Amino acid sequence: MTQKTRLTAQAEKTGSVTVIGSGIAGIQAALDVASSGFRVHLVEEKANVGGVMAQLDKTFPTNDCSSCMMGPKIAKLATHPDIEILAYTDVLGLNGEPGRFQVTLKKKARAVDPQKCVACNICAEKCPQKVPDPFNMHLQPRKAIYIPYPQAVPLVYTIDKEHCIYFKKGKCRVCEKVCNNKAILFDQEDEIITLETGALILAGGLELFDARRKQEYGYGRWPNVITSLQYERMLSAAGPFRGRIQRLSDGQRPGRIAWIQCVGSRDSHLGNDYCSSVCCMSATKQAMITREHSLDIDTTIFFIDMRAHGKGFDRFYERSASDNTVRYVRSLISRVVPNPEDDSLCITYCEPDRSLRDETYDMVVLSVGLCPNPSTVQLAKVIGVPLNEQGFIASQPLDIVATAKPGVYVCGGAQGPKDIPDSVQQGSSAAAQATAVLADSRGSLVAVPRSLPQRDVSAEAPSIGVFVCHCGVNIAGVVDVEAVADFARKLSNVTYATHCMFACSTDQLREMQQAISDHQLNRVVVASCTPRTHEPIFRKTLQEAGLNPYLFELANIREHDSWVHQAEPEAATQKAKELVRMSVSRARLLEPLYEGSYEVVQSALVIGGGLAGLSAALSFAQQGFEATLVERTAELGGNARTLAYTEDGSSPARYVQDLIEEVENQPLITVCKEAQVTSTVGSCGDFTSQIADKNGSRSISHGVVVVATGGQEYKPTEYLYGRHPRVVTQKEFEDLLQAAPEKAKQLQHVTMIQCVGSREPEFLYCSRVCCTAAVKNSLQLKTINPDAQISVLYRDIRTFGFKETAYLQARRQGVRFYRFELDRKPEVTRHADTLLVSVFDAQLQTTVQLPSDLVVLSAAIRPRPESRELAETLRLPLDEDGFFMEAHPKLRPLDFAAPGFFLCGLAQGPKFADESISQARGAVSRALAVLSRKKIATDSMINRVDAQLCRACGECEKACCFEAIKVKQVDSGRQQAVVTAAQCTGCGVCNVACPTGAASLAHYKDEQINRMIED
Amino acid sequence: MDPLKHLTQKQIDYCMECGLCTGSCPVSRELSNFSPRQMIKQVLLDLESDLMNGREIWACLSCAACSERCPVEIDFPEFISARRQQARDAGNVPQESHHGVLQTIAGLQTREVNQQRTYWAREAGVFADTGDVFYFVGCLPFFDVTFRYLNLSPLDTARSVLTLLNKMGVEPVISDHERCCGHDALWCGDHSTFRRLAELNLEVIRSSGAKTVVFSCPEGYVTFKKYYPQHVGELPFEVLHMTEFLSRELPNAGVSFQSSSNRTVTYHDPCRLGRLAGVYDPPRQLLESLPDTVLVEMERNRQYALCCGTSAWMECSSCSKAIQVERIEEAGQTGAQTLITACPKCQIHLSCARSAMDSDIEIIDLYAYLAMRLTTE
Repeated sequence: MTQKTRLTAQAEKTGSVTVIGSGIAGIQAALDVASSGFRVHLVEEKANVGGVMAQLDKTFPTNDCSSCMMGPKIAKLATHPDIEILAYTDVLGLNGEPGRFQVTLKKKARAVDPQKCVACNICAEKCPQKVPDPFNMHLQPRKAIYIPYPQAVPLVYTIDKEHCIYFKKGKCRVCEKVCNNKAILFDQEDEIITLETGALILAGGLELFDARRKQEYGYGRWPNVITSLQYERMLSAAGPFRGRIQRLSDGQRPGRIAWIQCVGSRDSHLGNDYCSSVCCMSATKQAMITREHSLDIDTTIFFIDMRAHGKGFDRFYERSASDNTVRYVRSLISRVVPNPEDDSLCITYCEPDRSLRDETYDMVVLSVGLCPNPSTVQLAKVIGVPLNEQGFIASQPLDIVATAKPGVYVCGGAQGPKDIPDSVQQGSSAAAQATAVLADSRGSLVAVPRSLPQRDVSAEAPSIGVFVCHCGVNIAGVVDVEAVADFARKLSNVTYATHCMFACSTDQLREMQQAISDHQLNRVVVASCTPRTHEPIFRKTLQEAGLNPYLFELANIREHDSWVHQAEPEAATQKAKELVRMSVSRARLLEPLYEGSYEVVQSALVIGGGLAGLSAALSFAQQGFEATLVERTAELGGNARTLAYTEDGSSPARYVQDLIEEVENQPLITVCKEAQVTSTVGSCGDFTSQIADKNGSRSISHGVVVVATGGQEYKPTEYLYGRHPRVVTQKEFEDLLQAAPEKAKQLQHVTMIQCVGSREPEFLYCSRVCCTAAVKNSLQLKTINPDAQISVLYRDIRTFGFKETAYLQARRQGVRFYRFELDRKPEVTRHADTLLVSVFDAQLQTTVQLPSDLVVLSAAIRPRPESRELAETLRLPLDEDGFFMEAHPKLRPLDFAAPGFFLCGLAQGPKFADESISQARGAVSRALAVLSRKKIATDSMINRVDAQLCRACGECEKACCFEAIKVKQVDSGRQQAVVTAAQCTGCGVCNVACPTGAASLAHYKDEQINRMIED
Repeated sequence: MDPLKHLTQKQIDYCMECGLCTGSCPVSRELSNFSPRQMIKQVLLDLESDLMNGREIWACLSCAACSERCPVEIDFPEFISARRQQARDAGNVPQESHHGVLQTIAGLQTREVNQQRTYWAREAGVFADTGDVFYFVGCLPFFDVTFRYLNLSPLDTARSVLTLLNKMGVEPVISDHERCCGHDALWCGDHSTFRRLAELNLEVIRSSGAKTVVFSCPEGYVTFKKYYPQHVGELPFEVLHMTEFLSRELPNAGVSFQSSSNRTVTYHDPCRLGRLAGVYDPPRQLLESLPDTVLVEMERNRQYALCCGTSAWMECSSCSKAIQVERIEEAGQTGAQTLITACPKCQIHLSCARSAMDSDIEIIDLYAYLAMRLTTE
């Protein structure tokens, strides 16, 4: 399909990156690297790619289906011409130097020929040996020859030699007998290969804590105690119980489920003193989904501190408690006691009022912590990459994707426990760092795509194929998909109709191509889910089968039907039929469309000169691209200038000074201070912006925009701030500690109040950094004056991940922590020269008086007020808190929905300095997919003007928001509306404005829509 | 700052208020006012007066079930011990059980007294005044008199130990001048009595020339091993628990045991031997080495074992009884006919509770059980 060419005769460095591990972080890194002009070798120790995310049911805080989100990414991975997937492969060693490594791999023998296996499943069906299934967390057995799930990539079976009867006892060979394709190769041998590669990205992910180590919870002994990942498989529609929540003891639906948090996390006793970061939200999500499944299941979460520190998490948590009535109890559980009569489980917990309560549950879910993956640990030892105290790969302060070994980077769970968006942005960041050192070799090893021939169907009568998707039980659980397929078969021009488990799976796509060729189809209708995520895959499938990709139509019978009509299956089936009928009607009239292309302006505009903006600009330059950096104030550096130190011993303030110097001396970067972007027009790859400063306005061209406008500390109005000199913000306190340690030394009693301006009804978000800031500044004061009495008044301590160790340290140094509830906030009153803080301690249930020399307010992080104006100028969305809104909080945290626009740093939401730097580089990595191309194909679904009908009235020009249509003199000499293809988004506004019907949107012509309604 | 206060303060500063301690505590289950988490928080916030004046400070069994599970490893028994001394100094004293007779006996031993601690040994076997191995008998002679009303004979433990040692060819030192180890005084907050007893004991052992001191009583053992060094410095001899000594020496000593018909036993871990000293395997190895003996575990065993409900001869109450009953029922659920204890106090407490229960489980001391099974020639 593709042919490899070496564009440069002899590149100095190898233009490829080897990514080890194929969870979501590794996948993101691989896709980014491959999209920016490098070859990728993606190595996975397991038989198939996907990692933990592939095992999840839904993801917080949007409750999107995990496999539905991952499906398109994996499909893209599987079909990317520049990605070589080396699954079932171990890394044996690494030689050479950065830019020119040799990595030695062992391709383990699957005992199956990947060229011949068509994944028909006959071997697994007939295999007599049942073995535990790790993908389904042992809830159900699988066979000794297996794929983990039907959509697995690569879609090749593997023999589990540890359990295979033939490999153990020398007889059986049933699979060999039943395989029609002779794909079983019992004597297949491991293969050792060596690859030349420029850089390495470690993305080996995590392992779950072994819950059996917490014997008191009875995991492994009592059937109804399960782990959080087992529960995830239970919830999954594609899981062993098809989404039915049930007790393992008797298959009955539980009436009451308890979650126990911190199982194997925050536990020095077990040697795991860190927080696993994700379990609070994951349990919240699971309880919420459980309540959505059935309101008659009671859900209770037992926890220490609710850690909802990510974007949108606090709203999610509040919603779970209010709308879904998930119950939260702040107490850890000492023991789970089984009742042998009905296998129910008794839990004792202590109430805030100190009494103990016993409660009985039908099922207990242990929120197990995240631990280092032993194979990553082993690999790190082999290739000489040091680990941190907790056993994860040690990364560099403020450069969290860099390991101590040059040319070797790390991302995702291998670096520390983290959630999906953090893994994704680290994946992108690692991609940027790995390719920066190889920039000169960009394009040297990539495949040149062959242009695919397209069948001319203009003379053919419509011949439509209809594919109705089960989407596991997402659709088929409600809609009678067989009946829909039967119905479709009878519609005129439908030549072929079928139904399938997952229309988007690689095997099914292959079948679709086969059907196109077998039945000479010239239009395809898929009845499945939303075109937003899945249309591109199906279009590509048509293209590969020799059809124009626009001869495709998607009927959304999931979001528009099965998900919203769960209670009425018959009516839902009827609606599905109608939707399919409409799509078939439209499909008859679909026309092939052809894309144009335009040149990419290979430079970037970065807005904001703080840590994130500076890092982004420098990263563009390191990749060999020009960047213009626009800063509103007279000075670069932003908030980082006052961040003197961090809890892990780095100094953002010093770092940013060096960064400024580097940026200002970098010839590829143009810095504009006291400047503002006043307009941006154009489209992805070809923008023109006006930049105004005191000398006037000028225009620049650029291919991408990175928004890094930052945030600022909230100026409190509460707790006497601004009215008493001894009330300061955390940032002001940090300045004092830094600038006047002698003065700080005089402080004997310091009281800190957390969540000032955060987690309030009108600002329902966590500012993420303040708990760590309070801990860090407390420790700093203790260093200056060990006798200082520091009290921290908090609601939940959110020192997630390794930051927990700083919290532990603070407690050990005698910093005191008092928890208060939102409805009984602390009070600060004047007390002679000093202050008196009174707080109602939620645990003691008494009021405590704290005389204080200084009150420090952990004030919220707010978006910058100018971001609203900029959002309007750039036509970019803000979220409900005023931060810029990414395309998708989970899988596209660094992209805007509008192509060519990217975001990073505090502009996107509260975060730490190292995270801002990492995000900035990640955003650059995302932008490189645009900048590293010479040309961009234009959208074909744009407005077309019928020259005959256009009377040049200019209504369209007035209506267009994108300056994409203008009345001009055309070659014939007359005036006519003309569309700039690169700028037209196909929104259709001009169609409505046009009084004559001259403007019409390709692919959405009136006739194409009308037939859907009228037929 | 007072160094002791500083020490315990530092410990409890680790608390993150998760409540695991209170949830694990056998006393909290019975006494609704008793909460380790609350006690820690009160002291943290300098609101100690409630704790110092209340009865709760004496209710703790120092069984360490809480600290065993505490995710930040707060040593709650240590915390309580330090507070008890302060409470006692302030006039808050515990309710002494058995009318304080055992505290009185311990107190008397701080003086010059003439004890007859070895009369039993003269009938039971051979011992010496000096030698390498010192058998620290502890309070068994006093218990033997005090608990006759329960039809118990705690000295059988000492007799069995001596028989076993003699069989192995060991003639240990046993001394009339031995004193109470001070365990109870320590946990009652009476540190001056504790220190005096410790000094006297060291003198006695030193003059015997012993290189190894063995204990059948877990309290004596842990007090010597853990608390003597803290209060009176490093010890000039090895400290071994009898189960450690026996499981190390018995296999090569040519001693054999006989089988007995269908004996299924369960073993109760004493808090002092288990959670406080970390000795779990040696007693089990001894039981498993007996022919035809099946050891079945209770639901809560080893570090999860439930306490016997009373410590340091104080604050015995309905709460203690409830814990003891729960433990005996748990033992009954294993199907074993015999509950083996390795601590004289556990045996006394559990026997006392069983006397009022409808349970036919036998409660036998580990050493008596071993001696019973010695092959008769």
